[in-house]
Amino acid sequence: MREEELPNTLPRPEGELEGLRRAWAPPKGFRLITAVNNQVIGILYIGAAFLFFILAGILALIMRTQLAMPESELVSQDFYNQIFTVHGTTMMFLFSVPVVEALGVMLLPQMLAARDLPFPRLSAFALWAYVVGGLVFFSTVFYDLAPKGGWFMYPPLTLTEYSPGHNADFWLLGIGFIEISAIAGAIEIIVGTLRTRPPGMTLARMPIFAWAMLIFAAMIMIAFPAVILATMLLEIERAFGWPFFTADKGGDPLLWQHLFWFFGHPEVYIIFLPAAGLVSMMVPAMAQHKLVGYRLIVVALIATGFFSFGLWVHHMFTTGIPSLSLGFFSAASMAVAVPSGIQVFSWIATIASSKQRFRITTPSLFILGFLFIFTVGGVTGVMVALVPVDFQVHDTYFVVAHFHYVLIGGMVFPLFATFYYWIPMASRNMLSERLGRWVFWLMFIGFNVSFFPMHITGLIGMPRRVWTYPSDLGWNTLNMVSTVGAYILAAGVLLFIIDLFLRYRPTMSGGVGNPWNAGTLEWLPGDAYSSRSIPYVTSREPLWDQPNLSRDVEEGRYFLPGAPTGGRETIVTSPVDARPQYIIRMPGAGWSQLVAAIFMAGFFLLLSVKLVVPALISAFIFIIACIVWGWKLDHGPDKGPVDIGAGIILPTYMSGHRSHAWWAMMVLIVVASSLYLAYLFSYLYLWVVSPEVWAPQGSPDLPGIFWPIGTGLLVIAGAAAITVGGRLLPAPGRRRAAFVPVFGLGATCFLAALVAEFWGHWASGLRPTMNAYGAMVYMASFLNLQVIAACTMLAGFSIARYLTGKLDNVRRVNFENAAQFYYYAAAQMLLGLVLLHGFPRVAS
Amino acid sequence: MTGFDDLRHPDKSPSVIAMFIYLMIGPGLWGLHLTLVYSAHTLICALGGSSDLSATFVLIATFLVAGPLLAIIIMQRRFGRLLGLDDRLSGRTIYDAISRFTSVLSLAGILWAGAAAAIVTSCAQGR
Repeated sequence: MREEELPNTLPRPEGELEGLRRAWAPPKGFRLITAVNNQVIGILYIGAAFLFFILAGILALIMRTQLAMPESELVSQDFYNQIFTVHGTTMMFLFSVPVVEALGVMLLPQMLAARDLPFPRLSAFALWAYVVGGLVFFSTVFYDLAPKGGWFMYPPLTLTEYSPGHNADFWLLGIGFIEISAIAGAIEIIVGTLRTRPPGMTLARMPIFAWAMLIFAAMIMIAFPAVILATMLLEIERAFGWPFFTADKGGDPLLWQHLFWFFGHPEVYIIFLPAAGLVSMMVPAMAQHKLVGYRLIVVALIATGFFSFGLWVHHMFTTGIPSLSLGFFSAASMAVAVPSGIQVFSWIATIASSKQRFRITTPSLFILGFLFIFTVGGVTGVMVALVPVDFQVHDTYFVVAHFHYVLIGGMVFPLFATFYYWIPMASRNMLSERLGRWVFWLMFIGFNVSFFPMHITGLIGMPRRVWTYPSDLGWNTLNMVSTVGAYILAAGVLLFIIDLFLRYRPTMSGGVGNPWNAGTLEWLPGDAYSSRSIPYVTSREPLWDQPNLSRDVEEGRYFLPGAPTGGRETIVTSPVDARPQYIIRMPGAGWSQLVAAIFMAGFFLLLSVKLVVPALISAFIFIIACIVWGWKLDHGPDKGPVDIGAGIILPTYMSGHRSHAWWAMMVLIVVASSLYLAYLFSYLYLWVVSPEVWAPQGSPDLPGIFWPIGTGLLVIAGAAAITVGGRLLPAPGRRRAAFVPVFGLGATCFLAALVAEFWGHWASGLRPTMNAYGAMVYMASFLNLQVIAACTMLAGFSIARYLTGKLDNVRRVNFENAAQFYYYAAAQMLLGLVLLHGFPRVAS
Repeated sequence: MTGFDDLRHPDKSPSVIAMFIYLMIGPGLWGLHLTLVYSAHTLICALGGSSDLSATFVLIATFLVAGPLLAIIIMQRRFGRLLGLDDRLSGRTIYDAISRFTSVLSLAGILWAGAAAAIVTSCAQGR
């Protein structure tokens, strides 16, 4: 692009850069905990996740030491059960997913040259909720309160009869709530990736890591609600005796396995895909060659994301499922190897296509190590996808070896490559290449020495999760070798930590430049505001294809070189072809998200130990903090449109379907729908298992038909009143007396519908503890209660905004959010009515 | 005219839903097929239906889902136009390739799963 064609001219106005710096300066000292800048949150988030990796790793070393020799009594059997449960749970929930989200928060805005993700306080909220909840959960291992049911917590072992005490509750409530934090992060990532790309960066020019994060976040939206529902069902059964999983009352423990693995298997790919995305970013830089097969890698990411939802039953091959079902899931389990293979071949082709020698650096070594280890894990994955092989090795150390090859190979090795590759972007020093090579070789050798023998240990019969074993089974040497390997692996990690302490010096001022000569935007010179101006992107490797880009961006020649509204802002572009649409004004540092996170964690954790009143007080403070947080988000259109360069004038306020708030609410609705679909599956599944407890034969008669009809009419009337309320919003500065009563009437109709649905069943004599049918019926009311409670709060918030003159027919985002969720609530309630009142009548 | 003229018309952006459907139609149909065959087959077996009925259902569902997907793969561009995607859209060939390859992979997945009905006795317990 010729100089005279750039969007902005030189010299830039005096004070423009200072204004930008002032707007984005993070708070100093202890107030840093109120920061929301993605670079601060990203570093803290990665640091917290890495801490959990170390803690869970220490538990692994204790386990390996216990298993090094037969008949060892280093730890008690009960404590061993606790530490293998906490090890798995921490690695999966407190390390793998959070570290990937953290990398998304840290890297995505830089790769997209956005000033920040669109909801910076949501990222900060996700971080603090996770840190507080995670630390409390992990600490249970120190005072004998840790769960003992394995990371998958199968009932009936985890029902109150077999797991009394609070241990299992910590898992159920703690993990359930940490998943809410993960969903908050996913919303941020989806809206950020689709709406804050730089002008010109169409979907076809998006970095592979952004594609991977988009699919990762979409998978979280679909997969996590299933396990959230499962944890709700199990906790309710433990606390109140609703028999979802108790076989003699029509429940089924296998329901838990279906819900858990519908989350649990995609979870593997939720972890792997972003790691693969990171590899796809690093390989071209190390090869100094564009990624071979960009479109095939996108295909592979999409296909893997989808196929991963068709594999969950392969964790249940030995549970007595019909043969043909085994065939479907065996086929899908083998099919998913194809897209994974595509990626591996693509990386190899990129390395082979390089005109110069592939640079062997520490990141390259970790990538090559990843390719070897992950491929071995993939091959054993195809082995266990074969039903007869799975029958043989199920619940043995062969499976332990397989999934560690996949997870450590597929995620931890790319993560260490990432540390070495991207730390120069956020540190005044690079990490040591010499130490880095030691770290790699110790980890690579240690890993293989530790986990390869486990294939054999498993094949000769050693089951998983055993505390100790007799000395005459031929497992002694293999276990000793595995333990030695684990310590070598740990030495590698320890050396990395030493290197980190010696050389990592965080900075937001661009680090050490672009040491790998990479082609993507995160290597633009930058500061707390990301890049000085937001570039116009014409290819996938802009720094390679636009030689003056760094200089022009730094001089402020591209878009939005200052802070025209005086605050934090970035450009929102269209989702497919990245045309600028408006300027989003973002909040700065604040306490509200921090307070909300701490007290939300407090609510769940206090509930775990049945301290109901303190839990409710905590919930109340959480809600107040959310209101304070939300109150300042809608700035309104008072700043007017701004010129971002090239004569493009953009509004600084947007409502309707282009607004980022509308998008976030739609994503939230998808999450809520996934949860409800998981409920529908559970209802129908239990009916297939135990039709004999269903009404009208096995339970009291259904409420008369006027109950669902009346309830449905209330829901429809409520939705209609909400719609009319929207049309009654007055022009700015005006009042319209009818708005509050009409909108309030809509909200009241929904509340009345909720009560009517509950009361209809109660009056029929049905009770939730009676059998699985009763439990399922009242669970629908419970799920509706959650949605309506959220809607009611949004409605109250909108009315308060209206009464204080902050809601009108232009400044209407708060109302739109409430209305969107009410419409969803209407759909959910009507579907529930059809299911609960129609299905038993038809099925009987 | 500069490259920025295009950026001044945010209303010309293609529909994100159309693009989503275009890119995901193959995997979407694969998901539909798996849901159909798994749920119907489980239901038939649980209610004491015959293995033949279950296998027949699976084969019919496979044919009904694979047929339209094959048609979409063959008439890729026409399908895109049907969704309102302009042939001159920037990056269109890349979107075409992504859609085509995901559809081909999905078709293979559908046929792979469906083929199980021809090999395995439907309602026999796996273990």
